[in-house]
Amino acid sequence: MPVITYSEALRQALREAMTNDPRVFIIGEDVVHYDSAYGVTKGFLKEFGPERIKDMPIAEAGYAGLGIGAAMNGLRPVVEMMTTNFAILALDMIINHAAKLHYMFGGQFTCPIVFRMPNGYGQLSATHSQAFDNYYAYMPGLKVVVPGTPYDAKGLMKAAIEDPDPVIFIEHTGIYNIKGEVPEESYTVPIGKSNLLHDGKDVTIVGYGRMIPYCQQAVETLASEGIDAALVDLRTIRPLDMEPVLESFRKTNRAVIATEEWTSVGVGSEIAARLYTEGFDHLDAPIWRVGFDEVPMPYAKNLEAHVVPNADSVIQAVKNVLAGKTQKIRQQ
Amino acid sequence: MAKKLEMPKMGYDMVEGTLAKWLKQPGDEVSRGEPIAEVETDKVTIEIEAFEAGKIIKFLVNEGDTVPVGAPIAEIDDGSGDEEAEESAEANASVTPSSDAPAVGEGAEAAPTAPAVAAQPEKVEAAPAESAPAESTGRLVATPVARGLAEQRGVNLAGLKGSGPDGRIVKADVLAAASEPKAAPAAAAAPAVSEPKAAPAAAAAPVASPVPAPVGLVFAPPAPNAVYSEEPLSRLRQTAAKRMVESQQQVPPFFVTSTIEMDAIQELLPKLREAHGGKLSVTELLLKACAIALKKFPSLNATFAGDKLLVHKDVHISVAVATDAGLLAPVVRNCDSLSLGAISSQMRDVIGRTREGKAGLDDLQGGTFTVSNLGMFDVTNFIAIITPPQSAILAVGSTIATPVVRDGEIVIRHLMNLTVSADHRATDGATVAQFLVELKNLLQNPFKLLL
Repeated sequence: MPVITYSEALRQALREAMTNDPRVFIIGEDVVHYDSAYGVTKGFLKEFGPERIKDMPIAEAGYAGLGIGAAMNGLRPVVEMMTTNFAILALDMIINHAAKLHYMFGGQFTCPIVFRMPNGYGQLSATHSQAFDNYYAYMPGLKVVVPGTPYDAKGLMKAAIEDPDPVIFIEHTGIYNIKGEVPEESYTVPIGKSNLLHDGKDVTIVGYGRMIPYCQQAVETLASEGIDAALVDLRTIRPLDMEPVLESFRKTNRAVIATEEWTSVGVGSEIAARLYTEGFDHLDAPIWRVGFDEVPMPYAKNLEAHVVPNADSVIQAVKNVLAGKTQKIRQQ
Repeated sequence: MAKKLEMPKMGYDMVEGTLAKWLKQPGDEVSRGEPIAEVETDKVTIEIEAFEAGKIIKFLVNEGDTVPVGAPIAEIDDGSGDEEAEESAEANASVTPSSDAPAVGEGAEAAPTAPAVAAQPEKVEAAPAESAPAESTGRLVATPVARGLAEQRGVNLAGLKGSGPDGRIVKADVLAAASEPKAAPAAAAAPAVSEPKAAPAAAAAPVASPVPAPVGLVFAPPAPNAVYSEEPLSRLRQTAAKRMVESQQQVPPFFVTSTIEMDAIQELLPKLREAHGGKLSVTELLLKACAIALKKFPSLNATFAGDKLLVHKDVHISVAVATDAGLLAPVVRNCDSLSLGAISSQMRDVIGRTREGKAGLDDLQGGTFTVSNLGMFDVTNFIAIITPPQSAILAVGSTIATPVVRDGEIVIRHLMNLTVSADHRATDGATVAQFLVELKNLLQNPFKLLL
C-alpha cells in the first residue's frame, strides 16, 4: 500500500470527489494561484479549470454564505478557511445558517457543505495559534471531524463531501506532512465512529487530530517502559462515539484525554464527563486531560513550546494517572 | 491519628442502629477484627468490629442510644504519625462546637465563620493539607472499581491499606488482598495442609476479615500423635457454627414427622411443567404449600421476642442451598401471594445468584421460615436445626416407592417424610401437627396449590 502524506491523502480525496461529481467545487483564500496556504489544492486549477476552484476575497462570512447558498441549491461546495482563526469571522454563517437550515425550513433544504480549516501554531502568536474544536462540537446541526492519520484524512474527506449535512473538517498545520499507508482506491471512513488504534490494559488514551501522532509515540515509549497503553482515536467529535472508549476504559479503569485545546470547557471535558458518568463503576483513578496551558499563545519559541502538548505531555499524564494523582487545572 | 468508627450499614433498609452494649472501654487496646460493640437493628444484633488496631480514645454514643447509619460512634487512635498535633487538633475540634459554638450560633447572622477560624490558626497550618481529605472525615476512600471488585470477591475494604494518594484504595489493592491466602470466603474452597509451616496462617491473620468469636466446645487434637491436616474454616462456616451452637443451646426445639403420598404430585408435575414452559420441581410446590399452611398457623411464621411473639405478615421462605462456599439459605419472598410460576422464577434466580457467589445480604436475610430439602440424596428423613430468629424449619426427605395397605390391599405408593423442627417457646406440638396435616392435605390434593 502506498505511503503518502496527510496532505496528499486530502488531495486524493478532493480530486476523486471533483472528478466523480460535477457538483463539487472548491472556494477559499489563495486556493487557486497560490495552490492554497498549505498546498492541498496544488495543481487543481490546471486539472479542473477556473469554474471548479475559485479564489475568494478576505471576507470569510461572505464566501461561507456563498457556499451555504450553493449547497442549499444542490451543489457540493468545499470551502477552505485558511485557518480556524479566520473561520471565526464566519461563525454566524456556520452556526446560524448552515447548522440550522435543515431544521428551520422543515427539511425542505439540506446543506451539504464542507468547511476545511487547519488548527496550528509555530510562532504565529496569540491570534493565529488557536483551536476552536469545541465551538463547533457544541453545536447541534453540525458534524465535526478531526482526522489524525492520512488514511482517515482521505476516507473522512470523502465521507464529508458525500454527507447531506454541514461538516466542519478540522486539519492541523503540524500534521500535513506526517505519512501513512493510504490505499489508492476509493473508500470512505464513516463519520461518527471512533477507532481503537492500539489495545492495552493499563490506561486508555483518548485523542484525535494532531494529538494522534503524539499519542502513538507516547504509546511506543510507554511500552518500552512496561506500560501497556490503549489508544482510541475519536476521529469525529460530533457526533461523539464513546463506545470504543468505554470498552477500553472498562478494561483499564484509567484514562488520559489528549486534545490540542485549552483544557477547561473543551472537547476533553465532555469525554471526561462521559467517562465519569457512563464509566463510573469502572473508575480506578482520576482522569487526566492534556491540552494547552491556559494562556493566550506566547510568541517566544521557548514559551510556546512550554504551552503546547506533545508526546511527553501524554507520557507524563499517563504516569500521573497510574499514580492516582489528581489534576488541578489552573485558569489564568 | 484519631479515626472515627461509624455506625455500619448492615442491610439495605437499615437507617439507624441502637448501640446495645460496649464490649470495650475507653483506653482499651483493640486489634483489628476485635468486637467493640453490639449493635441492634430491627433484624438482628450484630457485633461491630475494629477496622484496624488501635486504642479507643472515647465513645461518642452511650449504650441504648440510637444513631443514624454513618454517624461516628467512637474514636480510635491508630497509633500512626503526629499524635501531638492530631490530638490537639482533635481537642480543638471537639471543643469548638461546645464552647464557641453557642456564642456563634446565637449571633448566627453576624460573622458566622470568623471565630472558629481564629480559634486555631496554627493548628490548621500544622495539619498537612495533603492528607486532610482522606483522613479528617474518617471516610473510607476507595475508587468505584475497587469497591465493586471488593464486593465481588468478598474483600473487606475497611481492613485494607490503600496504595493510592492519601491512602485511597485502588483496584490493585483489592486484587492483592483477594489473592492472599487467608480465611476469607473466596479462599475457603481450597483446604491447606498446614503441617509443615504454621507461619503463613499467622502472617495472614492481620489482613483476614474479622471472624466471629468461637462458640461452643472447641477441641484439641484427640491424641498427641494424631495425624491430621488443618483446614481453615471460612468466615461463612465459622458464622454458621456460631449460629448453630446458639440455636441448640438457647432455642428449645421439638420435632414432628409426617408421611405424605406424593403420587398425585408426580402425576400433576409433568403437566405443570408443560403449562409453565420452564423448570419446576417439587421444591416450588413445597414452598407454595408451606406458604398456604403458614398463613393458617402463623406461630410457625414468627419470631420469639421474649415477652411477645412477632408474627410475620408475609411469608418469606429461606431455601437451604449447598454451595461451594458452604450452606446458604437464599430467600424467596412473598411466597404466600405469588403463583407457582412466579415462585419458581424468583427461586431459581436467587439460588442461581447464590451458587455463583453473587448473592447480596438482601438475598440472604429476611426469611421467616426455612425449607431444607435433602430428597435428592436418598434420605428417609432428617431433623434440621432451627435458624433464629425463625421459629421453625421443614426438613424434606426422599420420595420412596413403598408398599402400603389401602382398603385391605397392598399397593405401591410414593411416600415422602416431612419433619418440622419448631421453637417450643413460639408454638406447640398440636399446632405443628395440624400444620403438617394441612401440608399433607395440600400436597396430596395439589390442585389446591393452583387456587
